Amino acid sequence: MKKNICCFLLACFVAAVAAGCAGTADKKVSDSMAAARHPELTDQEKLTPCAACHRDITPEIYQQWYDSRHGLGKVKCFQCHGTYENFRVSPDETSCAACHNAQFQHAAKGKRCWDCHPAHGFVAHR
Amino acid sequence: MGLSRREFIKRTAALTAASYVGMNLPLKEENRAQASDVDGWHRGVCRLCGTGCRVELGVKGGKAVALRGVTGSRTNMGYLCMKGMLFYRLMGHPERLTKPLYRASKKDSFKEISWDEALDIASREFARAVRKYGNDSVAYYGSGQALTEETYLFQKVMRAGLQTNNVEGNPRLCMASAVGGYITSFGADEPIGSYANIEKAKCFFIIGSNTAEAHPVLFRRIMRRKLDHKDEVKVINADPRVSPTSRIADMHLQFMPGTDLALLHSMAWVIIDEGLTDREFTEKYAVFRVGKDKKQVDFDTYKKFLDDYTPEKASRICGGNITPDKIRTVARWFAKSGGTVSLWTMGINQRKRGVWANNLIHNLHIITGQLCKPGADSLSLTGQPNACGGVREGGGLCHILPAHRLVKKDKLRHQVEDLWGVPRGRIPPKPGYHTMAMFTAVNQGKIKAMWVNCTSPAQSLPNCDLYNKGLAREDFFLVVTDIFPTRTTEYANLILPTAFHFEKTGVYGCTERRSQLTRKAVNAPGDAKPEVWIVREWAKRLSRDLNDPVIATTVKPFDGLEEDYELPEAIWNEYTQKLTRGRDNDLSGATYRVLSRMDDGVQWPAPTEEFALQGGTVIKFVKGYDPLATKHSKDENPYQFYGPAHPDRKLWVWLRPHKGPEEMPDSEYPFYLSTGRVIDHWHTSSMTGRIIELMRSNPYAYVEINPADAQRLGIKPGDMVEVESRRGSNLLPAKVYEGPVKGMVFVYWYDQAESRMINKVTKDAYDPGSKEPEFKICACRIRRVSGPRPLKPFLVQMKG
Amino acid sequence: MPIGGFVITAVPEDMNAVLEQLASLDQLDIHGHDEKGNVVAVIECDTSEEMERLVKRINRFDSVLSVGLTYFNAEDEVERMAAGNYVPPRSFGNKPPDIDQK
Repeated sequence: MKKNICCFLLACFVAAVAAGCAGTADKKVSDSMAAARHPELTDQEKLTPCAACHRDITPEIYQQWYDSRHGLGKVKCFQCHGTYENFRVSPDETSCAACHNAQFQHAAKGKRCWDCHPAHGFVAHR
Repeated sequence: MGLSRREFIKRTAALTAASYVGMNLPLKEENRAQASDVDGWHRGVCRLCGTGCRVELGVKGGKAVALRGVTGSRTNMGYLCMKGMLFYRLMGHPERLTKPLYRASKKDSFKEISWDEALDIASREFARAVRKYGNDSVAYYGSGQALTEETYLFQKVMRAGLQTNNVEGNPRLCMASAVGGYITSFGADEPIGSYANIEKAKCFFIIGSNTAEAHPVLFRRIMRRKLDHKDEVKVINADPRVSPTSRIADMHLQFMPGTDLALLHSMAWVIIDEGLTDREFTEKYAVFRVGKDKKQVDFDTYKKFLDDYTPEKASRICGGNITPDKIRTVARWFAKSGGTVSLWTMGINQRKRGVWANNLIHNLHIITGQLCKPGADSLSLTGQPNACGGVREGGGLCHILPAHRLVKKDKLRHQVEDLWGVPRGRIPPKPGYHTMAMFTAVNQGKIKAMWVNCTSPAQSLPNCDLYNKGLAREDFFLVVTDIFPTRTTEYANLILPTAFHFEKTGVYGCTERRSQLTRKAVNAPGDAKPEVWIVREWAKRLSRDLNDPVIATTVKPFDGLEEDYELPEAIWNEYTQKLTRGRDNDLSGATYRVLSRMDDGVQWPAPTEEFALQGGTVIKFVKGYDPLATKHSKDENPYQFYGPAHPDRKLWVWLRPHKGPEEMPDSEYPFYLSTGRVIDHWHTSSMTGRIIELMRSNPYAYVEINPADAQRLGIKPGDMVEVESRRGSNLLPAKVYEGPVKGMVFVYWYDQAESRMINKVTKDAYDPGSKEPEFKICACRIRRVSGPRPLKPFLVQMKG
Repeated sequence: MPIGGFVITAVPEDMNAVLEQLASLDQLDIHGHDEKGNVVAVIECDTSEEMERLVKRINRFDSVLSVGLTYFNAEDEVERMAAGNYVPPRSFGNKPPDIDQK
C-alpha cells in the first residue's frame, strides 16, 4: 500500500521537477504544492468530500479503502487524515487508538499501525 | 523525562514528517504521540445515536481534548463512528449558549438576563396560563436525548405539580410505533434480546434501516459477522432505496414505498406453505388475534388470511425488483437459518401503519420460533441515546407514567401518586395531547405556554411550516432549553443554556434495555446549567406563584442538593428504588455505585445490585436468565411471557391487512418522497453541523433521484431541483444514482437552511395507534430549476 | 504557538544551498535530509498566518520544489480561541438566518 502513496508522491514529484526543468518557474504550481501538497481550494471547493476527487485522482487508494472494512463501515478519509486545517498525510496514531485502543496498547513498540496493517486496505498483518 | 510538551510536539512533528518520506531520524520512537497524552480519561456513553457506545473522554487542563472507545464494552467493543469520535469538540464550542436570553415579544431581539430573572419569568408565564386557561394550557415537549433524571423530573413536576399529562417528546416521532408493536405482539415494551445475538446470528433481516449510516458501530458488528462467515450468514436488506447498508447484503429487496406489509405477510405465507414454522413454539406460546377488539382466532384462520399474500400476489403489490422467487428465497433464509435477527428503524416506524408493520415482523419471529434463543431476536433499533431509558421507561409520553405504567389505569396512577407522596387525584386520569395533537393545540391557541427541552420541533415536525405558525403566535410563550441556537430557538421567548453531555451527570438507556452512567468531567461554559437544577428551581417558584405547596413537594426530596452529582443521583434513586421496583423494567439494582463499576452499564430487569453487577438481563422472558421470568413462572415452560399487557401470557400473532401510505402519488404529484439520514450528521445537525469535518463531508442536503427518472426529466447531477408537495417545497441539488427505486426521490433531513428543510414538504398523517407521523412517505413532484449553483452550508446563529 | 512538521523537497543537486538558506530561518529546525532532495523540518511560529507566510517564502527559494505539511499542532491557538483572544477566519456560519433564503 505504501507503494501506492509513494507512486502518487513520485508522480507529484516528477510533475514538479518537470515544471521546474521547463524553466517556467511557475510559482502558481509550486504554491499550490505548498498547501500540504494539495491544490489550494476555495472555501466553496472545500465543501467537496475528499473521496469525490480522490476517486479519480488516486483511484487505487480509493478502491482499497472502498473495499476495506473502513470503506464498508463508512469510516471516511477525514477520520484519519483530518480536514484542510488539520490535514495530515500520515495520520496521528491516536486517531487509530480512538477505536483500536486495545490493539494500540499491545502493538509492537517502534512500529506504526500501518507498518503491519497496510494503509487504506487494513487487512490482517502484512 | 524532562521533555517539555513543546519539545514533545516538535519531535512528533519531525517524526511524522520523516515517516512520510521514509527517513530515519535519530529520535527515540517512544516519544511519539500517545493516547495517554491527557490528564485523565472519563467514562461515559456516546451522546449521539441509540447504540449506546461506551466512550472515554480525554480531559487535559479541564478541557475535553479527545475521545476513545472502551474495549471492554459489550455495545461497541471499543469502536466509535465519525460522529461519535468528534462530539467532544462541542464542549468548548464558541457558539454554545452561555447566558439565559429573554424577549417579551417574538419580534424583539433577545437580551441577556440572570438565572433568577429567567426562572421567575418561566414560572410567571406558566402560572399565568394555568390560572387563566387551566392546567392543560401548558405543556412539556422533551427529548430522547435528555438524561433519564431530566425527563423523570420534568414529567413529575408537570403531572403532579401542574396537574397535566401534556408531557411529550420527540420519541413520539421515531419510537412510538415500535413501542406499540412490542406491547401488542409481546405484551411488554422493548426488545427481548440483546446485541449479543449479532455474533450468533445466521441471518439478518434488515428492513427500513440504513444501519451503515444511522448506527455505524452496530453495523460494524453485523458486517464482521457476515465477512467472517460469508457462506454461513445471510444478510437480507429490504428497502425501497439501495443504501450503503446494502453492500453487505446477499439480497436487496427493493419494494415500492408503503408495500412492506404485503411483503412481510407473503414471507409468512411461504413459511407456512413450506412447513417451516416452529409448531411446538407456536402452540406453546402464541395465539392469533384480529381487529380492534383483539378477537382470538385459530391458526387456520391466519393461514387463510395469508392467502391474499401469496408470493405472486404480493410481488404485484410490492413492485420494484420483487419477484415471487425472491420472496420465497428470503422466507426460507429467515425461517431455516437457525438464528435470525431482524433490525429496523424509521422505515418501519414512521408509517401510517407503523405498529402493524412492527407486528408483522414480530409475526415472522413468533411463527418460526426465532425468539428467546441465541442468535434470534426481533430488534428495533433506537435513534436517540435515551429514547428507551428516559422517555419510554421514565414516563416521557402523554399516556405513560414512569416504569411502563399507563396513565388511564387508576391503580397504577395511584401507585405513582403514593410513591411521590402527593394526594391521590393529583395526576389527571386522562392522557395529555400526543405530539401532533399538542402542536395542533398550539396552532389553535389552546396551549399558552410550552417548554421545549433539547430538541427542535420547528425543524423536525412533519409539515413543519403549518406548526411553526403556532410557534410564532404572540400569545404563545415558549421556553427552550438547549446548548446551541436552533430553528426552534428562533420562536422562543426564553432560551436557557444547558450543560452538555459530560458537563453534567446522568443515565442514558439505549436500544438493548441497557442503562449507562455518564459523570460530569468538564465544566459547562458560561452560565449554562444542568436541566435538573433548572427544573427544581423552576418548580419552587411555580409553587410560590400558584400558591400550591404540592408543587414544591415534587422537588422537596432534592432540595439543597449539589447539582452536578448529588442531585441527579438522588433523582435516579427515587426513580429506580421507588418507581421501577417490582415493575418489568426493574432497575433497583442499577445504582450509581454499580453503574460506575461497569464497563458498559446494566440491562434491566436488574432487581438486585448483585445481579446488576453481572450486567443484568441479556434475554428477557427466559428462566435462568431473566430473574422476573423465574419469579413469575407459572408452569414448566422455559419461557415466561409475563409482560403486563398480555394477561394470557402469550405472544400474539396479528392478522393485519395490508394498507398503503396515506398519500399515494397521482398525476399531479407523481413521485414518492422519502427522507433519511447520512452518516456525517445527526438529527437537525445543530451539533454535527458545528464540527467542520462533518459539515464539509456533507455540507447540504441533496435530493437523490433514480437515473431513469433523472434522464426522463432532463436532470443532471448537481442541477438544482424543486421538490414540491401539497404542503411546501424545497430547492435542492440533485444526486443522480441507483439509490431510490424508480418513481421515488429521497432527501436528507438534517439541513437547517430554509430552502432545504425537507419537513416543509413531508406529510403530517400519523399512525392511529402509535400517533407516530408518516415521515417516510408522501407524494411530490420534482422539476429542474437550473444548473448547478454554489451553495453554502447553513446553521442558525444567534443574531446580534 | 503552532508547530508544523514539514517535508521540503528540493532539487537534490542544490541541497547544500537549500540547507544553508533554511538554516538562516529562526523559526525553522532541520531534522534530517536525504539524497532524494527531501528535508525534514519543524517550523514553530506565533500564529498560523505567520507560518503560512513563511511557507510561502520558502516556496520561493530557487531550488525548493515543494513544502509539504505533514503534521500540525496548534493547541495553544485553540486555547486562545477558547479564551476569546483569537478569532480564526471562518468559511461559513455567523450569518443571519435569512442569508440563504430564496
